[in-house]
Amino acid sequence: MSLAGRRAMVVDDSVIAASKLRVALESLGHTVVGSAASGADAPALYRDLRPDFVTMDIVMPDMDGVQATREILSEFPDAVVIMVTSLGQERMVMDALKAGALGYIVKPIKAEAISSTLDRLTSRFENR
Amino acid sequence: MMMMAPVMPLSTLMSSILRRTRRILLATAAINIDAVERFDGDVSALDLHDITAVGGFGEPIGVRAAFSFDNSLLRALYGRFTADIPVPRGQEDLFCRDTAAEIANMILGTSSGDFPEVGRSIAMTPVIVLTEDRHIDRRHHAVFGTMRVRAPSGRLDVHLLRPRELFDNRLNQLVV
Repeated sequence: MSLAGRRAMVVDDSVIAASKLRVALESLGHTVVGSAASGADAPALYRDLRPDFVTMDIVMPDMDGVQATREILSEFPDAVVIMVTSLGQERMVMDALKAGALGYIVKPIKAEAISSTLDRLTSRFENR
Repeated sequence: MMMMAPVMPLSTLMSSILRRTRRILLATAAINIDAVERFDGDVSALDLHDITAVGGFGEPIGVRAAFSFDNSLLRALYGRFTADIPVPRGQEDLFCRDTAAEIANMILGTSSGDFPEVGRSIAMTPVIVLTEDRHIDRRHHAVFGTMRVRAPSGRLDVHLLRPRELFDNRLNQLVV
């Protein structure tokens, strides 16, 4: 089953990171249906858009990505959330995985890394 | 009885930040550092110039970190950072400021991984960007550390300020 053509939502306070994610995701055949610039905006946007998956920055103003992930998953337990992080933040990634995130990619953002992370989650996309 | 973690010397943190700065400028923008001047102790004032990205570490490190970029260096970094993405007309300055924030985030994020002995997740402060020149005199029991990094396209000054709670995220000194 091809993973291309999925609806993605990007949560990142960096316009550069969000742009790089959009370019990478579109190069893989996905559509970015919405973006949030803070964790606080992410749950409501998720509720509105119901994307197939979310890329979530960890360190953001207002609400960090770990808490935003918790809030999304408390309402939508099947949500697919992938963390976006810098090297050296492995412990924060562990917090995010404990909160229910299903994977992570490390900056700098590369389409190949996103693709391999999504490939590992194929079963989560079945029946969507 | 709760054990207090020993205070990490600013010089130790600065060494990590220098190492990470060197790697990140080279890896992301092919920029080599030509020279470094360090002032680890007895710094009485800081000068912020051009564009400054301010972030930091929560406890137990408890430090605010300011990265002041020369406009010329930041323009060089911006060119590399945005080479593969569209920058909407009129948003060049926003993307340029975000370049400073991204560089600071990457340096601080990778630096935080240099201290596994801390033993738990180090909270990172979201980076904000200041665009005004500022002079900050040391007051109360604040401690400053400074490093000046020179590259062919300009200089980057890195300032560390402690204790973290003595400053807000725009580096205004608070009375504690």
